[in-house]
Amino acid sequence: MSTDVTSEGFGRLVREHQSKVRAFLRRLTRGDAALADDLAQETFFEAHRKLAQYQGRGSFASWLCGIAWSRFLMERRRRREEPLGEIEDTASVDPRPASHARLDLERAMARLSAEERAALTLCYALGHSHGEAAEILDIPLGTVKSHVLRGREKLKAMLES
Amino acid sequence: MTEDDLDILLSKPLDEVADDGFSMRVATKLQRAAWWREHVMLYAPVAAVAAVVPFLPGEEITAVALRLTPLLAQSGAIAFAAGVLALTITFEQRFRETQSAL
Repeated sequence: MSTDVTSEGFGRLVREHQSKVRAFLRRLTRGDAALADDLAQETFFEAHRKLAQYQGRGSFASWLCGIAWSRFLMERRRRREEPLGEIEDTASVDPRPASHARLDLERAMARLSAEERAALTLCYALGHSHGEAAEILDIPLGTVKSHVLRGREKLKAMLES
Repeated sequence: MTEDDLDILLSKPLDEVADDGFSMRVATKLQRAAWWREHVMLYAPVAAVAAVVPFLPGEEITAVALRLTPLLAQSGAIAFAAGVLALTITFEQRFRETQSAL
């Protein structure tokens, strides 16, 4: 994995990872593409500043997801968000065509806590192990497992109702 | 919905997000930030000095400099310090050249 700090080298890294980082942030922001893209930009700026600190312990994508998660948390603190009653209908935010099952999943996901959304997304859709997710989210392994378990239970109940 | 159905649904990869100029915007902003940093680093000290110079007591500084220069030129301690400084700079340059050759 190249960690070239030149504009050209870093540009390649942005092109390579932008989709994953933006999709992860869209899931976290409940489909708010504009906010997700702002956070993704900040994520890449911070990654550029801290590139020398990347030690190659995990994958570069995991490191980026960790930065994205911390940017998301900062934004959430700034907005003091997450009252459940104010959840938007994510299907109306994202204009792309999607299957009913996918839309149902996104709607149900939007009702989970951010921590549950992040843990489920990292462990399932992005294919990380629980250990990697714990590092990315900077929380203990047991906490990740309980977020996954609780998130799954809630999703199952919501999708069945 | 079974556990397996949920697993399958959750495990579907996130939708691909088209670049649509995102990478270019990031690169452009990074370049602009780097340009500003470079120019501020270069010109800020010059501007600061230029702002202070008109308020300095020029005649007094010149008089002190004229009085001190011969004394400094004849000082053994100053000559020794200048020698050490020159050697340090030379050594540091050689060291860098060796490191970059490796």
